[in-house]
Amino acid sequence: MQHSDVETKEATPLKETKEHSLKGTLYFVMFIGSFIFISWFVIYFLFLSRI
Amino acid sequence: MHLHKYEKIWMTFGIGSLVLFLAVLGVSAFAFGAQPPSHMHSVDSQNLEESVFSAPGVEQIDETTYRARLVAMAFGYDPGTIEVPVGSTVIFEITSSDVVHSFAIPGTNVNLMVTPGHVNMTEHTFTEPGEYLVLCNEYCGTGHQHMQMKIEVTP
Repeated sequence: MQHSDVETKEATPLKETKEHSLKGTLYFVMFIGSFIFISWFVIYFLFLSRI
Repeated sequence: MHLHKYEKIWMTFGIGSLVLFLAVLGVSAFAFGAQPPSHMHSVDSQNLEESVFSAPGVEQIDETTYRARLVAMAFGYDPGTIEVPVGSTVIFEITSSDVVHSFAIPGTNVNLMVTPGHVNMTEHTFTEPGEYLVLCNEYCGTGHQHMQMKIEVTP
């Protein structure tokens, strides 16, 4: 009988990917978003004021 | 799917804004009847003399409502001046006898394209007396900058 001397390898845990900091992206996205949001309502109220 | 905490924030903000914008437009359109200036009516632009535009001008529909049938052409409008009393609602029906023009009253929501073969329609209530300038804001040829008419709103 052949003895298996292959060592069972333990599953290596996946390397945890380090989360990038998205703080700068968040600020910029919210800056552009607020600009669009505010301009939309300014234009809408301009339209309503001229009815 | 893993989403970063910040991604959740801006996606919620984006989708929320979109839903809010569409809801405001939906309520304005379906509950309050707001609509872009348009009309399904069409007309033969080569033969306006035999259409409702044979005698362009203003006619009174009821006490405070008027209908203004106007023809835009290079480079002016027919008639060049109309007169309505203050407080009246004017329904504009406009067509073109040649190329694409527009009909815009600065400072109001009246701003529409005038396309040959189509009758474009919008309405406006004039609450302030005075002389209102109408301009063409669609480039229509060499005399485009001279194309204008006047609406006199009398007290």
